[in-house]
Order: sequence, then C-alpha cells, then structure tokens
Amino acid sequence: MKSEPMDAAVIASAVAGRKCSAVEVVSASLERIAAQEPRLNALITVMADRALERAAFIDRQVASGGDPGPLAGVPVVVKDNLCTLGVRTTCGSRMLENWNPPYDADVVEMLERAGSVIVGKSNMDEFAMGSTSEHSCFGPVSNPRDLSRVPGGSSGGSAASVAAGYVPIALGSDTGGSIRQPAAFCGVHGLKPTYGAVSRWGLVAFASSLDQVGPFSRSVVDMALTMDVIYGRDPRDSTSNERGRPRFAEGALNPSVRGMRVGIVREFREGVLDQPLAKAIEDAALALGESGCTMADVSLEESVTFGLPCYYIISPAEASSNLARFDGTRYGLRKDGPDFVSQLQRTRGAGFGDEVKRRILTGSFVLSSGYYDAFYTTALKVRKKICAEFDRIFASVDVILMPTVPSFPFRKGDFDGDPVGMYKSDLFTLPVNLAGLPGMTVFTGLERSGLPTSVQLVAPRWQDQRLIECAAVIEGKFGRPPVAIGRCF
Amino acid sequence: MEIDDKTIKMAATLSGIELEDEKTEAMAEFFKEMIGHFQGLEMCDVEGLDPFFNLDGSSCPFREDVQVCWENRDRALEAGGLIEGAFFIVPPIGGAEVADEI
Repeated sequence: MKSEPMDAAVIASAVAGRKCSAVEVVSASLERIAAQEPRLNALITVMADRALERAAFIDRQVASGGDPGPLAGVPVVVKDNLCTLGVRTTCGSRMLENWNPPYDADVVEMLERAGSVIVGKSNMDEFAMGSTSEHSCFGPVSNPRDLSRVPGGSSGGSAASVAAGYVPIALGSDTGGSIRQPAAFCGVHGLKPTYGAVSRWGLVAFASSLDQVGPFSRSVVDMALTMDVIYGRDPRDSTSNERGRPRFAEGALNPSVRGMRVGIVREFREGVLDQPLAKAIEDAALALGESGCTMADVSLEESVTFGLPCYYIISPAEASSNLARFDGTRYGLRKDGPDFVSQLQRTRGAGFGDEVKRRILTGSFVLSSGYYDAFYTTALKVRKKICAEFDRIFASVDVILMPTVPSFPFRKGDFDGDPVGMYKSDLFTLPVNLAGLPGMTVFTGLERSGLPTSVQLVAPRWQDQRLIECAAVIEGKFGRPPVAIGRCF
Repeated sequence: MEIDDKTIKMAATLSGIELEDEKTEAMAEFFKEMIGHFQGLEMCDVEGLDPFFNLDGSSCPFREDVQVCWENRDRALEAGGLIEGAFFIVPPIGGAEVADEI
C-alpha cells in the first residue's frame, strides 16, 4: 500500500478497478488506528471484525462484476450519536454505555449502500453538548496537530480521525458548530448542510430544530462525493426535504464562481480574531476575487449581539425535552428505586455528566411556568430576527465569508470550571444553525507551530453547492489539509 | 431575578435529575451567569413577531397512520433495562408524596 494519504475518490476508483482490494485498504486503516489511538482516543468503538467482513463482501462484489458504489471500499468513521445496528452507540455517555441500537441511521445505510466500510464510532462530547470533546465518559480526545490541545467539539473524534489519516471521510453532527469548529481546530474541511438536507433518522437528538449531520474530509472532492451520497429527503424524517438535486462532485471538479458576490462580515474583522485567522479571511477573499468573485461588506449585528443567548435558551430547552426519554426503562443505564420517580432521578443523576445536567436544568428552567414567555418565547422571536438578517444579506450577496473560530485550538483544561467561557467561542457558528443555513469550514493552511487556519463559508438555504464550489477555489490556492502525525495508508 | 438553592432544586425536580447537594451552589452560580446573558435579549425589539414558525415556511407534515411490521422489536426490547415478554418493567409510579414532589 502507498504511504502517502489516499483520498476517498482514489480508493473507490482503485477498489472498483481491482488495483487494490477493499480488505487491503481497510486493514491499513485499522493498523493506523491501532498505532495512533493510544495518543488520540478519537474512537469509542473500533469495528475491526465487521469492517473486514464488509470489505471482503465489497471485494466479492467487484470480482463478480457487480457495482460496489461510488465509495467502494472507502473506510469511514461515524460519530457515536449515529445509530449502527448491533454496534453500541453511546453518545459519549454513561447513560448509553452499552446500548445496541436496533436499527441503522439513514446516513449509515446510505454510506454502506454506496460501498463504504465503517471502521469505527468516534468519541464526542456527551450527547453532543460541548466544544472541546473533553466531556466524554470515555475520556478526552487529543488534537492530532498538537496533542496538548483539544480537537474541538462535539464531533472532535470524527475531525481527529480524518486529520490523523485513519480515514478520508467521517460523519459528525452540528447543532451550534460541532462539525465546523472541530474541522477548524483539526485542520480539515467540515460541512454542515442546510437544515433538512440530510436525514436525522437515527441521529440521537440533542436539539431537533438545530441538529444536522455532515461530513469531514481532507479534500473538497471527497466532501462532494459524500454529500452526493447522504443528501436527500428521507420520509422517516419529517423535517427532511430536498430542493433540486445538486451535483456536488461536478461542482467540486468544475467550480463556477465567476460573478459570485461574497459578503465579508464587518463585525468579525477588527480585533476579535487571532491575527493569522484574520489574515486567512483576507487571503481567501483574494483567492475568490482572482476567480472572478466580487467582495462586499456585510453586517451580522443582530446575530453577533443576540445569537449566543438565543441559542443557549433554545438548544437546552429542546435538549431537556429530547433527553427526557432516558429514564432507565427502554434504553441503557438503570438505577433502581422504590418508585418510578426515584428510578428516574437516580438513573439520570448517575447517567449524565455535569455539562449535560447543566443544559437540561437550564432547558427545564426556561420552559417552566413564569419564565417561559420571558425566555423561550422571546428567544424564538429573536431567532426569527436572526433569520431575517441573513435573508436581507443574501438579497445582495451569494455567499458569506467569515471566521469559524476566534482563536487557535484551546489547550486541554482551558475551560475547566468555566462552561460559559466555552460557550462564547461558538459565536461565529451558532447563528448559522439558528437560521438553518449551510456552512462549511475550509482549511487554509498551517502556521509554523503546526496549528491550522481556516475560514467559514455560509450560503442561503438549499445552496449547499455554492459552498463546495467556493471551497474548491480556496483549496486550489492554499492546498489540501495534510495528514497530521506520521504516515498514512 | 433571584437564583438560589430553591431555584436549582425546582429545576432539578422538573428535569428528573438527582443533584448532589455539593453541586447545587456551583449550579446556582452557573444559572446566575447564564440568566445575565439571557436578559440581554430584552434589548432586542421583537414587537409584533410571531414566535412559532418553520425555517422553510412549511407546515407540519402528516403521514398515514399505518401499522408496519418491524422485525427488530426483540432487539429493541433487549436494549432496555428489565423486560417481561413484550413489556418493559417499571416500578410503581408512587404515592401522594411523589405527586407533591412533581
């Protein structure tokens, strides 16, 4: 096998063309995982036996002349809040430590139907609540670019798996930035689709009006190939929809950005970013300009001022409802009591970590009598204003260019005892979830320290393809994310 | 707005979570800080806005209520705590003192 990184596109072509076998590719991925996992802790469950069986099946399919699919033999990792039939799905929580789902998530079915091989379930902040991947009952994840730093969260394990070269593609979920922020911290690409563009069937819910599943990758072409597989309406998810049938792979190979108007966010320029991240915005704008885009200043004043409190009312409120199902009866951990209420309280007291408890209590509080209108109803109205602000901006620009994160990855423990400090770092990502828009982190380079820089692109709802096209232009200028730590398969 | 131990105990009861006494104070401090941020929303003019909407303007979709045979029911039952046949077992809901607490 080659020692330099192999893209999903290259693997799929090689496996389908019998230049290498799926078993060889998956074996190399598993070897790399075994070598690096003691340092990274990016995976909760490694599915070695099942992955090799599946790879052998793909090889038999190819040998008999069958069509193995566009991701034939490609090893992938999925976040551990995506259900996998017969393979434990823990959400990083004691509550579901040994829970085996009775079904596959829609995106898992789509990936396997496309020929890919799931090699592991990635580590994450518990129930997707967190921005560092330190809040898992399976221990924290390390950033492959600097082991003393966090990979971001909550999809830190998926981001780290791609950055470290375990796999070329991983899936995460994004409720307030949990794909885009770890992509920025780990130096890979990460995309949150339009709300409703990818099915949430089989995604353990955190905040149902905000959650979306999306991919990580080390190349825009791989990102596009994955989107072509997972995008689309699923009748099992009543919030999923489909507007047209974008051809993401074509957009990645032949981006058409000439004439696109790019909005640069005024509030995120002056003095709020680490200097290399501000320079990344300027350099990305230059690259898009050289390809025929025009630039314009835009303002996200309401999102910047009100986005954080709005999000941290709505998301805990929805979480308190979604996590009410964990009562020791039908799923996971059970701590007995003399009556049902005692069982409920003891189970949830023992099963949830501190961050999850903080958010559930906050959610219950803002929904309670006497506070509901002051907090929750008001937040829903403010959310409508934030949506309207983006709608106004997109009347005059086609895509927004802004930062994903204000700083380089945090050091481990930076926010111990300061959860609100951690929340503030989501300022640039969560308004995109509130408005249901597609957003993508695009890698733009590594500093001398080895730490990555990136930018965020945001498009109107259902214009996810614009992200891929602009990202392809930026990648053409800055190059692709290199694998961190040693050799790849 | 006063946030004290009583507020936290109320929120914990509504949440169905047993919270250790030693964590109540830290939770109260956290609540105070968060509510300080939440009160910032009072500066936003939301007069005349309807709070209930869908992102894409669609209404809640309906589907036909059709019974479908699902082959993984046994797996779903096994994933639970205690089962008897096709049923999950739970303790009794509780008496008057529990109703008061809720």
